[in-house]
Amino acid sequence: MNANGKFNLLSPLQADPLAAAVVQADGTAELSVSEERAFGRQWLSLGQVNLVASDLNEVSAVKLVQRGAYEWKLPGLSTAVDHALKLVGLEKSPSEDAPARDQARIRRAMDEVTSIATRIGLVHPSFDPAALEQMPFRRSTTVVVDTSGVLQGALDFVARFLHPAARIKIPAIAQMEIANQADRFLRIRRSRNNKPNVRMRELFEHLMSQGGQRALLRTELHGDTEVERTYLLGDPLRSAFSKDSDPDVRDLDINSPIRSYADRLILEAARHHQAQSGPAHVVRLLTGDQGLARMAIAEGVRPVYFRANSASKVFGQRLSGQTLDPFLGHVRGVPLTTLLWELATGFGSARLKSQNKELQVSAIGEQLSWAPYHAEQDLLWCRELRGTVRKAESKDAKTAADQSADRRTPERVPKRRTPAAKRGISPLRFNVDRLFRLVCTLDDRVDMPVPQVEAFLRSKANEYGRFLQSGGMIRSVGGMWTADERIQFLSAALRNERVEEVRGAMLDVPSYAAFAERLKGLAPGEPLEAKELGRGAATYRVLGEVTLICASVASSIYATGNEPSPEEFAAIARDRFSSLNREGGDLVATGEWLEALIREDGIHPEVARQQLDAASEAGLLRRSTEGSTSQLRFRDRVVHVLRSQSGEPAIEEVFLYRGDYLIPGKASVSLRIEDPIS
Amino acid sequence: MAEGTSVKFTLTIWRDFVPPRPLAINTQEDGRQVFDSDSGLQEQVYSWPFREDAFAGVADDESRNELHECLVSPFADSNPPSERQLETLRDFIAASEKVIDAGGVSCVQSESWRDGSTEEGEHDRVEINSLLALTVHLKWLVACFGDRPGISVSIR
Repeated sequence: MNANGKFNLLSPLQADPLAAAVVQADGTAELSVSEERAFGRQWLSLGQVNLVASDLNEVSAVKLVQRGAYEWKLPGLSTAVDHALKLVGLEKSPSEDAPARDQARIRRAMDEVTSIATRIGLVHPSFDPAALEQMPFRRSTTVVVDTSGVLQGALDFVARFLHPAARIKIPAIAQMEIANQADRFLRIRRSRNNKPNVRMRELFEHLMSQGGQRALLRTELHGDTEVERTYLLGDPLRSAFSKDSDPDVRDLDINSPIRSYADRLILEAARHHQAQSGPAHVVRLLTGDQGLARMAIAEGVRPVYFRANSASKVFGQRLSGQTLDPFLGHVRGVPLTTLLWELATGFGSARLKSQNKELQVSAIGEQLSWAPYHAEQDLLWCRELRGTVRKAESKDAKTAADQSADRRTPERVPKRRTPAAKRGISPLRFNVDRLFRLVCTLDDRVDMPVPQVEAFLRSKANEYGRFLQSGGMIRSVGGMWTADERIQFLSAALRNERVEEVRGAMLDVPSYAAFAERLKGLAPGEPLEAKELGRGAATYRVLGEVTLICASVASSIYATGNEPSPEEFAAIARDRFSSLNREGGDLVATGEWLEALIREDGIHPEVARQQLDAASEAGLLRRSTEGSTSQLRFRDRVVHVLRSQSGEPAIEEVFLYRGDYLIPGKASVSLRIEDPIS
Repeated sequence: MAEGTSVKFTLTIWRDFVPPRPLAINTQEDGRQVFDSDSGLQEQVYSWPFREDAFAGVADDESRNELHECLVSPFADSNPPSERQLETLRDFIAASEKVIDAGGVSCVQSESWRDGSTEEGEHDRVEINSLLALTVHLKWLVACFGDRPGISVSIR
C-alpha cells in the first residue's frame, strides 16, 4: 500500500492490517461514507468504531479487526438525517411541504444502512414468530427468495444460519429487479441532472442496487450455500417492467417493475419448484412483502416472512462486531473490513479515520475500474492516507451547510490573500478549450515537460501554467509540470460534464474566484462591461459561461446565478414571454427570450433549457415552436457550453437565435409559451 | 470454540398450546390425567444456550447484581407463565444499555469463540463485551416474538 493516497485493489483480508493500523493508536476511529455525486464528495459520519480489548498493547489489532472485536456506535437518526440532507443540498427547500417529504426519502436511504448491518449479520431481520419457530430447519427445505429478502438481509441470514438444511432458490425476476435498479442508478449517475432531489434519488438507487448485487454475488461466490436456479421462460419477464413516471427521473425513460406481476413470478417459481419436488420436501417463500406473503399463503406456499429493520433499529444504538449465533449461542465475529466493504459497496466509498491515519475503501469512482475478478476475489479499491489530519479536519470542521453552499454557488470566501496571491487574481488570457484538454492530458500523464505542454497547446504555456499553479493543480519544478491531486477531480468533472464540480474546482483559482465575486456583487440586470476584465475578457467570459455563472448579451456580461425550481421557472418564463410578446403575435424569437432571461432574471440559457423541459413535462406550461428561418443579424449571439466528446471535454458555441438549441432536432426559431390552464 | 463449552444459561420461549384433541397420560400415582384446552399447556418454540458470562465484565458490583436479578429472577421456571412475559425482557435490556452507555462494562475473555483459527494461543485471547452481545440478541428476540400472544420466557 502506498502512503501517498494512491488506490490499490485489495481483498478484505489484505486490508485487515490497514484497518487495524487506523484504529490501533487510540483504539477508536470515525466511520463515514460518501456517495460521490449525491454527497458531492463530502463524508457522512456513521459514528465511531471502538476496539474491544482490555489491553491494546497485548493483543494484535489485526486479530481484533478480523474477529470483529469492535463496537460500532451509530449517531442518532435525526442527526444522520439532517447531515445527509445537508450533504445532498436539501437543507433549504423552496416548497413548504418539501422538508417532510425530503426527510422521509432520506430516512429510506438511512434504512439501507440498517439493511447493510443486517446483511453482514450485526443484526438480524425480525422474522415472523411462526417462521422463527420452525428454525433451524430439521429437514431439507428449499427457500425461494424475493427481492426484499436479498436487499434486506434475510437471504444472508438463511445462508449463514440455516445452511445446509436450507437450499436457496433465487428466481430470475429477483435478479432482474436488482439489475434494473442498477441500471436506474447508473443512468441517473450518467445524467447531467444535479438537482438535490435527483442526487437523493441517486443515493437511494445506489444503496439498493449495489447492495443487492453484492448480496447476490456473495451468495454465489463466497458462501458454501447451495443455490438453485431453474429455467424460466423469457416471455413473462419481458412484461414485468413498465416505464417509470417518477417526476424526478421522467426524462430518463427508466423502467420499473410491475410489482404484483413481479411478485407473481416469484410465487410461480416457488409453486413450480413445489410441483417438481417430492411431497415431503418443504418449499418456503422468503419475503418481507406483506402482499406476496398473503398471496403465498392463499396459494398453499408457506412464507418465511420478516419485517425489514428500519433505521431507528440501529441509529443511536451500539452494535457489536461479535454476535451470538441465534440458534447455537456461539460467538461469531464480523470482521471490521466486512463492514467497510459492505458500506463502500452501498454508498460508493467508506472511510475509517483516526487522528493520524485514514483508510478509504471505494467500490465505484470515475477513475476506478471494475472487472469480474474483482467480484470473484472480493477486491475493492483502497487507499491509505497518513498525516492528513490537519487538512482533513479543517475541511470537516466546516458545517455541512457551508459545504453545501460551496457546491451550489460561487460564493466561496476567497482565502486571505498574500501579495503573491493578489497578483494571482489578475485576469489571464488563454484558450479555455485547450486548457480543459490540457487538464485531462496532465491527469493521464501526471508529468509533462514544458516543451511537450507547449507542443500540445500550440502556444506558449506561461499563462496556462500560472492559472493552474495558482489553483494548486500543478507543480512546476525544473521545467517539468506535475499534476497535483486536485487535477484528478477537475479532469473527472470535465470529462463527465459535471459543471457544478468544475465550478467548485475553479473557485480554487484566485483569478476565477475574484471574477465570480465581481459577478456576485452585480445588481440584478447590471452588466459587467467586458473591458473591465482587460485582456482576459474573452477567457473569463468563456470560463464563466461554461460554469454557468455568467452569460453575455451583446458585449455585456450578466451574472446568472439564478437556478429556480420548475414551478418558479414556469412563472418567470410566462412573464418574460408576455413582456416580449408586444405585437401580440403569440410568438417570440427563442434568442430574444433567452437573452431576456439572462438580462432580467439572471438565468443561464443552459438552466433555462433544462427547466423549460422540466416545467413542460410537469404540465406547468405549454410550449410550441414555429418558423425555421434564422435571424442572421443575431448570428454572433452565442453562449459557450461544456460538452464531452468521446470522453474528452470540448467547449461548444451555442447560437441562441437558432431554434435547435431549445428543442433539439427542430429548426424553429420562434417560441410560444402558454399557461396550461388557458 | 470447543464444542463442550459450558452453557451459562438457557433461554427458552414458550407459547400456549391447545391440543387439537384431549390428551391423557396414565401414572401410577395420579391415575389418569387428561389435558385439554383448559390445562394451560405450553409448547417450546425457541431455545437458546448462552455460553458466555454476561456479567463478568460489569465493573460495579451493584450493577452486576441488579442486572442478574433483572434477567434471572423474573424468568425462573417456578414463576407462572403470566409473570414471565417477553415484555419483561425490555427491563433488562434498558438496564443493560444504561450500564453499557455509562462505560461500566469491560470486555472479558470469550468462552465460546469459534473461527476455526488454529494459531497457537490466539483463540485464548479473544475478548468480548458479552453483555452488549447478549443485549443485541435479546432485542432481536423481543422484535420477533414481542407481539405474539401467549408467549412466555424461562431462563435457567
